[in-house]
Amino acid sequence: MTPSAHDPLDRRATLHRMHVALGALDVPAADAERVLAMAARTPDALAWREFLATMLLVLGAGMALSGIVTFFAFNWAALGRLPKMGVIATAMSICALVALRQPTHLVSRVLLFAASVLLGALLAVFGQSYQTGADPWGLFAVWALLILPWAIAATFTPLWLLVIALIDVGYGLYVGQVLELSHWDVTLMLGVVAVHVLAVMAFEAQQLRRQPWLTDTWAPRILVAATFLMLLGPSLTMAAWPGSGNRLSAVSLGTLTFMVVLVGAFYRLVRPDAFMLTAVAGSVMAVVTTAIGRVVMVTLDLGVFGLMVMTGVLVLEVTLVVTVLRKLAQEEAA
Amino acid sequence: MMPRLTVRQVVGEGIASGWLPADAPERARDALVTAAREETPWYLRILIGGAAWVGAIFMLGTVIGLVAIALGERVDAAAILLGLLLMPAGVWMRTGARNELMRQAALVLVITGQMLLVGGIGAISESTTAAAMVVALTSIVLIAVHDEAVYRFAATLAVVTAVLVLAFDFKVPYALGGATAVLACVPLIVWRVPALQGRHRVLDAVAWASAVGLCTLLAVQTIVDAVTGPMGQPPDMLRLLMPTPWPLAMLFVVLQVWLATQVARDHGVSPTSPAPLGAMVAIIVIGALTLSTPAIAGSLLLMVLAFDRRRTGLLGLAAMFLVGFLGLYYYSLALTLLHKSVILVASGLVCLGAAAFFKAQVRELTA
Repeated sequence: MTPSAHDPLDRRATLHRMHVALGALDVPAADAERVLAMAARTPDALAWREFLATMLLVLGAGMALSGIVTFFAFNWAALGRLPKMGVIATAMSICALVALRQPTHLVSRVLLFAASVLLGALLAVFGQSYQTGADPWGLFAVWALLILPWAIAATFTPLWLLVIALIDVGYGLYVGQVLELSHWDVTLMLGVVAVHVLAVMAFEAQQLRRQPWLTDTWAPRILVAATFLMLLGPSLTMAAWPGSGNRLSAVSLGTLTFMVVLVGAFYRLVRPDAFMLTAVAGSVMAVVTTAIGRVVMVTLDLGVFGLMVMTGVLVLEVTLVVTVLRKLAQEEAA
Repeated sequence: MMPRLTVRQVVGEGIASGWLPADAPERARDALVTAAREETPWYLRILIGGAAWVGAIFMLGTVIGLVAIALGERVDAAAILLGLLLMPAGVWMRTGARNELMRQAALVLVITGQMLLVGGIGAISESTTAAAMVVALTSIVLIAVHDEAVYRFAATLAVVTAVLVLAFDFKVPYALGGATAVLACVPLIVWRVPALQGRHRVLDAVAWASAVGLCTLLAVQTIVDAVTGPMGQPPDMLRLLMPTPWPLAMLFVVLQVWLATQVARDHGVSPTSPAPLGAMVAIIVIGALTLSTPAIAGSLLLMVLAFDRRRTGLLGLAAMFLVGFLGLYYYSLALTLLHKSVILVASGLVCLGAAAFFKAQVRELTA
């Protein structure tokens, strides 16, 4: 379990943990206060300077870049086609070239991210200026394809998330505007789920390397949480009105069940992660509560007694979830 | 980026200073393992909080339904009475709770009791003002006595909302700005004043909620500005929703300067020595350039506080807010695109200059 997988002494010295630790030591109050003050101390001078240098560099670059974009927006109508594209292409090239100097540095990765965003702006201005007649999905697909080498080179998680977001949008537009299927919503939903599942699988596969390219565990968490949220809406409709005959709801519920089993098994057995298991538990709770609510309030029509039953069901569910997740955390820590 | 300070390091330093016994690591480990059973990560707290609110709504329906069946039209008075009974019952249950079921049930009881009391008083008095006052007062009392971080976080946000409703009812000028200013001060005071660190169990959730509330209120002001702008609004509404920005920006600058002096004091250096002085000059210049846009100084304040208190989550919150704000700022109607461009480029250049200064300071220290 990620939050408690280490020796408790190697965890962050929060005031709560220090109070707990000091409570077991029977030390005089004055000494305990000195230790607490030590735990709550500010980082040292070198750490402060490094933090300020990096934060101000990223912030300054971001603000200056935003200011330049805003300046050109102010004069946009007065600019010709070539100057418009030239400005964006120049900014993009500067970002990419500066990033090449120290490719492994965080600032270089942020610059490559900026270059990737500017590439999209360049493609949009090109399409607007020359009226190429291409479908909008093509813009996003080409954008994702062109920034792929930068994403590979930068090994920067936010840039990979941008690639996945572009694939999602491009695929959505392709299904909506080109395929013209009668069940476009199901095709769209399944496609986006497939993209997210493949992305999470790829992330977990590269985590098995001796030196993974990407280590930010928040990225698969975001993808899994987004997938569950997308599936939950139609699934809850299915749980509340099972006879509605809505194909999207039925497929969503089936897909959610598959995802719950897949994510639950992987993040319990292979790479324990309490966040993922909480997301699984939350999704199951939402569907089960809605289904029980349907039975109690509609099928059995228990009225006020039904509301009382639902209160009890919810308290029991959350108690069970919290107890199980905490127990799993302790097992992992042991 | 965020320097990590572990329990092992602190205990080790405590032993070296002679304040802790030599067997402190073993005894501390045992205590922490036991306490870990009670620890709840933030995402599980969100799940618990969401479930508690839904549970409270079901329970509210149950209680009101039963009272309506028993008493007919005297539901409101009974709701007040039941609310006054359920809240202390929930607090009492939480105090003696030995398992998770009792903790969750206590949370649902307290929220249901509060909703009954507020709803009952609101219905009898037919006054939003009265209901908002009850929300604020009961939340403050329950934050103090109900030992539940999820509740304390939500109740702090409820107090802020209730106070804003009251301020809007009484047409208090600069209400939104005033609330934003208070919310900026709370995390700084709670996390920075040593005397309050003994109360961290109560105040930590309050400080977190205040930081979230600060970002939310700054975002609200930016969105209102981007959607309606200052033009065409009644003067009363303008004073409430779109207060003059510079006092807020100045307050954020003052708080950052205060924090810089505190850090300098902790490092045992004079505030006039190069690094603290450079930081303060940068803060003041950026603040002066962004007087019309307090959100920039506000997010900088949160970032610096997050690093000072080693809180990665707060740093992420402030960074996300700043990125979101810069996206919204483009649509602000209070300034022209040219004016915004000048502010952003000038502030960006000051930041880059300050970054170069601190980079040189790093080289100097590591040489």
